[in-house]
Amino acid sequence: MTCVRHPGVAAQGGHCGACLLEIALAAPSEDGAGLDSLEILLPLGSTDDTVVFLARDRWRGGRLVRLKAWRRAVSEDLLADVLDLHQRITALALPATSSSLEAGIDAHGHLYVVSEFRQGVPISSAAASLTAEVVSIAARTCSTTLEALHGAGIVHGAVHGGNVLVHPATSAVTLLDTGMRPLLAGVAGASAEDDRRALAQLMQRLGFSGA
Amino acid sequence: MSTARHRTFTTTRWTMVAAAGGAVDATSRVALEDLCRLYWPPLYSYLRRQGYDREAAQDLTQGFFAHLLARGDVGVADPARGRFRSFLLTALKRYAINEYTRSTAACRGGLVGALSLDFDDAERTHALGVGTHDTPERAFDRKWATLSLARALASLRAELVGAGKSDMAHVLLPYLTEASELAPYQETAMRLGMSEGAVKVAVHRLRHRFGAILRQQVSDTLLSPDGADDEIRELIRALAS
Repeated sequence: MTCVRHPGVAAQGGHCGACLLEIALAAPSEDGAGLDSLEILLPLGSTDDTVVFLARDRWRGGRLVRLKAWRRAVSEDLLADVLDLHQRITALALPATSSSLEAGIDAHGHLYVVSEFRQGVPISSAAASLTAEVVSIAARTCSTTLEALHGAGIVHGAVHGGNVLVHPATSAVTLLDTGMRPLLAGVAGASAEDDRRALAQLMQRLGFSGA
Repeated sequence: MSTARHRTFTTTRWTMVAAAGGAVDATSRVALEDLCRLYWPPLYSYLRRQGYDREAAQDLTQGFFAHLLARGDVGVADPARGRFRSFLLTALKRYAINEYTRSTAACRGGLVGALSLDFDDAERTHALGVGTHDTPERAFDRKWATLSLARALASLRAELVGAGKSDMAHVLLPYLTEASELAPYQETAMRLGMSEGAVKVAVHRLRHRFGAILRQQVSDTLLSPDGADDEIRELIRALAS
């Protein structure tokens, strides 16, 4: 067996040793029960279907994380699809997407996702204070990120002002919750064109003409 | 969701040994013996790669551990104390230079039963590496990495078997990494009587558990578990370069 990512590494029990070590690198520092490792710091928002918190992850060196939980029971089949989606997004290593650290089902059967916390304000909330240049940067960043996602067969499915964060100081842009809505809502018709249209509408509302 | 929990200091085996400094107690001695018993093979690989023949390497390995365990301290000011891996190799180098001639004769007479080491197995794995361009230090690090992985895999397998999940261990452990020629998840799901999604989630959880086990074992050789990431990256470099 030859590992395509680590050619020349001897097999270890049928596995590439370097790949096994990378699994350990990505693992939390302790084998926690997912939510039990989190210290909730403050709520970040909620909808009828979801609730989002800022939390500190004790088993990931105390780093700040974003916890999003859905108020619906899901099957392990759906969880598997979520894990697969996150793995595909992580593999793209796009600067404007935050890394998913863990996804699971809590004791009530509800889906939760723990992801890297990115500082920023929803672009729709910050609209009044944004310069034209910042909006332009956000538009370009979102456009190139969506293009990369679409190229990998991933549709965002929920491009709106609440899912586009802008860092107040650096103007760095983060696109949140990529691919989750199509998976969870079973929105079969969501397409790359829908994403592009939604982005264009968002930017128009923010006064960006695309020029 | 649980309420806040304060992070507690994790005492690693190496922490117990290093904290004892020059004052040996039963706990630190047991910890040091445990670590030596687990991690001696890379030292043997180092010595063989240095050019010592089989018998000389065995004598040196046994003599070194007798010396280390008799001393029982690790040198309070030793800069290599941060990692047991670094400490062990540095200490062996010093021993090989300074103590070999004087101690070998004493070793042969007084070491029987001190540490029971399977040199035949170590020699077999050394032979697999003969002909590579590894420096002795690289051979040491590679052996350390492969030893750590083997222990973690064995621990994970033992956990599954102990939980009555031998079938799952046999069928799902190959999916830990994306090795080629694995059966499709659907086929494996049918074999285990699970849904395909449940199989994927089970594999995900196995990877998590394996990662946690390996991290714990790596952390046990460090003064602080905070250094685990760096140590794992070094082990990846040792294997992949």
